[in-house]
Order: sequence, then C-alpha cells, then structure tokens
Amino acid sequence: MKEKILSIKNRDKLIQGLREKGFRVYGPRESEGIILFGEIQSSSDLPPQYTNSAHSIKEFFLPPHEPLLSYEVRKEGIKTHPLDQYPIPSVLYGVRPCDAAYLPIIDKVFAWEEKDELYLARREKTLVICLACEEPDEACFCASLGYSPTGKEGCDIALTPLDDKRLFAEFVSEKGERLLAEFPDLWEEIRPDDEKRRAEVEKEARGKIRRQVEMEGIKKWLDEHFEDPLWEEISRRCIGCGACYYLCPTCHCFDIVDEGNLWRGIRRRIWDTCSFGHFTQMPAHQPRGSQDRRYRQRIMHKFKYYVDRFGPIACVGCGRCIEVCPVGIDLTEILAKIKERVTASAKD
Amino acid sequence: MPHIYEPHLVKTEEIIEETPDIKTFRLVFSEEALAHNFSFKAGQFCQLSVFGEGEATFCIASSPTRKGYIECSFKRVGKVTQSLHDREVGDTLGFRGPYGNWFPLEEMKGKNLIFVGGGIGLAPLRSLIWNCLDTRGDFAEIMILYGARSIADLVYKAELREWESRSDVKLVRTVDPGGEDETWDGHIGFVPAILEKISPSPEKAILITCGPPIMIKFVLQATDKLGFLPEQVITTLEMKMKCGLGKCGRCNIGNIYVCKDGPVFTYQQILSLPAEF
Repeated sequence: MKEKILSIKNRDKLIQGLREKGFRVYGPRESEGIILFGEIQSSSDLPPQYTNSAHSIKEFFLPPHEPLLSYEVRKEGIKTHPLDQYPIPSVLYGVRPCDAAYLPIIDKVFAWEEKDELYLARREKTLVICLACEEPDEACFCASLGYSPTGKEGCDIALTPLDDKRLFAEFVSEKGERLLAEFPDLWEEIRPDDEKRRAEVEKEARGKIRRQVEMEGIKKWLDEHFEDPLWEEISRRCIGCGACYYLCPTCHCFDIVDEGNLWRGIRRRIWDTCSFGHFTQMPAHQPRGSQDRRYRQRIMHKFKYYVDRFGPIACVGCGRCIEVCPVGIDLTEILAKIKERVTASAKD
Repeated sequence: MPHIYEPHLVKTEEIIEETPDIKTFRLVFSEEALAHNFSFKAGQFCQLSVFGEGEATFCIASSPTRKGYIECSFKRVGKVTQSLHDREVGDTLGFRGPYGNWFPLEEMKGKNLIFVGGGIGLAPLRSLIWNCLDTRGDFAEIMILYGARSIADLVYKAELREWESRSDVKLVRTVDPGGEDETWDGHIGFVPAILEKISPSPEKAILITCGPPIMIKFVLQATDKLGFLPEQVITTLEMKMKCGLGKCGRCNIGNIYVCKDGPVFTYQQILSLPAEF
C-alpha cells in the first residue's frame, strides 16, 4: 500500500482540485450543533472538531427514498420510464472508519446474484476518504468488532492526523491511488518517524474507546437460542420506532411504494425496518406479531443470519443506535447479557 | 438507468371470476419478444403491480407448458388485490419475474404424485398439475385432494370437473363442515383430516401441498402419521416480499431468503428453519 503525507494546506487544494475535475465533494458540516454530511466548497466548511456525523453515510448509497421509475397513462397505454439517476462522481471526505467499514459488508447483499445497479453505480462513482477518529464517542465500540478508529476497511484513502498540520495518507484502493497520479504535487513523502507517530495516534484513539464487548461465543449462543426468555427481556422497552434502523449504517431493508394515482406517478424505494409490524404483515398471517420477535430479528440478522449468509457481522460498532434510542436500549448491554449466558453455560 | 426493479408491461387478456373474492387474470406481455419467449418453471412467482397502488407477490398459476400467456389468481385481501379486482380486460399491469425456485419436476418423474391444496393454495399446485398432466407419461398415479371453506370458495371449478372426468387423475374434493349444501357429493371435513382418511401410500410417492399456513401445518403432521418421510413432502412458504431478488430483507426466515431459496421447500428443509413463518 502506498503511503504519503497530505498537509492541511494541500488538503484544501485537493478539495478544490476534485471540484474542478467535476467531483461533488461532501464532508461533515455543522449546523446548530448537529454534524451532517453536506456538500463542501473548501476545507473551511469543515468543523474543527467532530466525533461523527449524526447520520451514517448509507444515505449516499441507499438514499432514504429514491424514485425507481415514473409511469403515466397515454393514448397508446401505460408508459414507464426508469428515472435518470446516473450518479454524479462524488467524494466523501472525513468519513469515520466505522462508517466506511460498513461498505464492504453491505456490498455483499446488493451484489449477490441479481445486481442492484442503483447501489453499485453509486459505489463505483463515490470515493471514500476516511479521517481517523481521534476522540471516539461515548457510545463507540468499533474495536470490539475488529475495527479500529484508524481502520481502512471500505476506504479508498485513509487519513490519520499526525499533528495539526499533517495527515498520514494510505492509498487503500486502486480508486484512491488514482488521486496520487491525478494530483502529483499535493502528496509529500513520509518522513522516518511518521509511521511510528501514526501507530501512536491509533493506540491513543483505541485507548479512548470506553465500551468493550467480548464477542467470542456470541454467534454460537445465537445459533442455539432462537427461543429464549432473553428476547422478551431485552425488548420489553422497545417502542418499535425504528430510529436505530434509520441511523444504522448496515441496516439496508427497504420497501417499494407507488406515489400517484392510476394515471401518473412515481414508484419509489424507501427505507423500511424489521422493527415495524407492517414489515412482515400479510393479510391473514403475521410471522413476527410481537416486538420481541421483531427485536430478535434485528439482533439475529446482524450477528447470526448475515454472518451465515454473507460472512461478516452486520455491525461496525458506530454506537448510533445506542445514542438515538428514545428508551435507552443499548446494544452493547444486550451483547454483554448474551456474553453472560455464554460464560455461565461454559461453567456448567 | 435500467435496473432490476423495472417491471415489464402485461395486458389483461381475460378475467375469470373464480369465487366471490378470487379472480384469475390471463396476462400477455406487451413486449413482442417476451410474449413469445417468456419462460418460467412451476412454483415460481412474480411481482404484479397496478401502477399507482403498488406491487404484490403472486405465484404463477398457469403451466409453463402453456405458452403465450401467464395466469395469476388472487384473493381480494389488501390494497393491491382490491385494485387488481377492479381492473378490466385490456388494462395494463406491471410484471417482474419469474422469481424464486421451482418444484423438483425431475425428481418427481416416475413417482406417484399426491397434490394437497386448500383454498387459493391450489394456484401454485395448478401450475404444477397441468405441467404434469401435459407430460402425463412421465409420472405414475396422480391424486389431487382439494378443499375450501365452502362450495362457493372452490377455485378453478371447470378444471376440477375436467380432472374429475379424467381416468388418469383421482380427484378428491372436500369442503369445511358447514360449507356444503344438499347437492354436494364430495367429502365434508378439513383437508388434513380428509388426507388422513383417504390415507395415500407413501410408497414411491411425493406429496406436494399448498394452502393457508394453518392447513399446511396440519397437513405436514398428517404426512408424518401416514409414514411419509420429510424429504417426500414438498410445500411452498408464503412471506411478505417486496423486491423478490434477495435484497430488501423482508422475506427472511433465519438466513433464508424465501424469494431466492424458496418459495418451494421440502418438509425436511422446513424442519431446519427457525419457527417464524
């Protein structure tokens, strides 16, 4: 992997240069105390400090709602038009490593057998530049899942601040390496101590993560406990609002709805979640008729079913579900409760 | 951008009123090439849509051996099916498919086939039954047990008569207690009970069942009592679906996507699934 230095001074030139080449550049922006990704003109739009954006970056790849096609009745019959959604080449700057790590996980479901061209085209056209996390949030637990505040999974370029003037740049993907060639003057050679400093930054950041979940044995427990009193216990508080889903980077379930009348309208894909009863409600049959069954699906899908089907755990430890839950349900507490049962059964 | 969620257009060529709340639509593809070349296998399903009301999942109820059209039957139970019931001959619908797996026709060859259907659950079986009847020489005995709540709720009435009159098919009809009238000459009783009563031999047999989830549950129990092995029994699972393509996550039962790994499962496969369907 190629490694270079990007100075803070050159970072602004990079943002300008990307814009001149036709990229839309998005970065974290602060508005009334809330950090959200938005289009940026220069690095002066970036907040001096931020832990992570309130929303994950999934909305850039699977928008909360997107038109799939329009339809209209004409003299000769109904006509449908796929809507023009060829994505504009974009750069996401300042993505936290946990959020970037969601991409290779979720690529699997959108790319297996029939390809979801809408998702995959956005993936192809979007460059992800990560900025290492120096101050993890109270709810963060990425390290428990094998990720790191300075991780590189899903990044095209991974940046780690060495001090307030220099960023250590790792060119993770071929797409990222292209920027090396396209902006040859912006990248400086690394100095002898830079790699050491980068490792120190990682160690410091890891040390600041307050939550830790011991994952060993959890998958096996889930394999064997589809029926267990735990599901009722942990979901008693859940009001089924789905907020955890909306903020979760890896949650990717959706609905398809028509908006319009019998003469003209739009067919739209919208986010949807297993937290809602309507998700599996059929006219005369409801396989997940209570909130504990729906909550079980959420945990099982992330930590067992997705693993069985596609390999990785569908959680990156970003902690948003913990922060947003209006009734204080805490995923790390749930995992810890499962772990207690794993440990208890090991003693038996 | 063309994408996997884009429907083809189909025209309603014929509408048959099966029961007070079930209709069958005969559909023909508007695209010339598809009208001639569309192919599928018995057991597969599709997403049909009324533009403006949305998509819903239906099995293809016609046989792959009958070319040039497809048929779907639906009960008026929700928003989309209500709207479908309001359509007329000549109306255009959206179609995506065929999706999912299919009945294991090759493995069924040379075997005695026992079809057990309830209510509108005869629709996917009908596709397979006609497929088998159109290649009748490939199979040994064929028995069809079909029941509904009442005489009025029996679907494909003309075809039931046709099967009854054929010497190479044994048709057993039943209606739920109270669903009969003085003219009824079939059985009276729930499908699983009648299955136990007529007690078909599991010898060299495959039993295929479709119907309401509660009926399937008791039919599977009945097959145990009759000595069928779980791998001799095939059914279809119904879960709510949207994409039909293994993306939207709605039809998951454990790590299974019913839309991709199903809807056709053996009883043996079903025994390994979490009890959530």
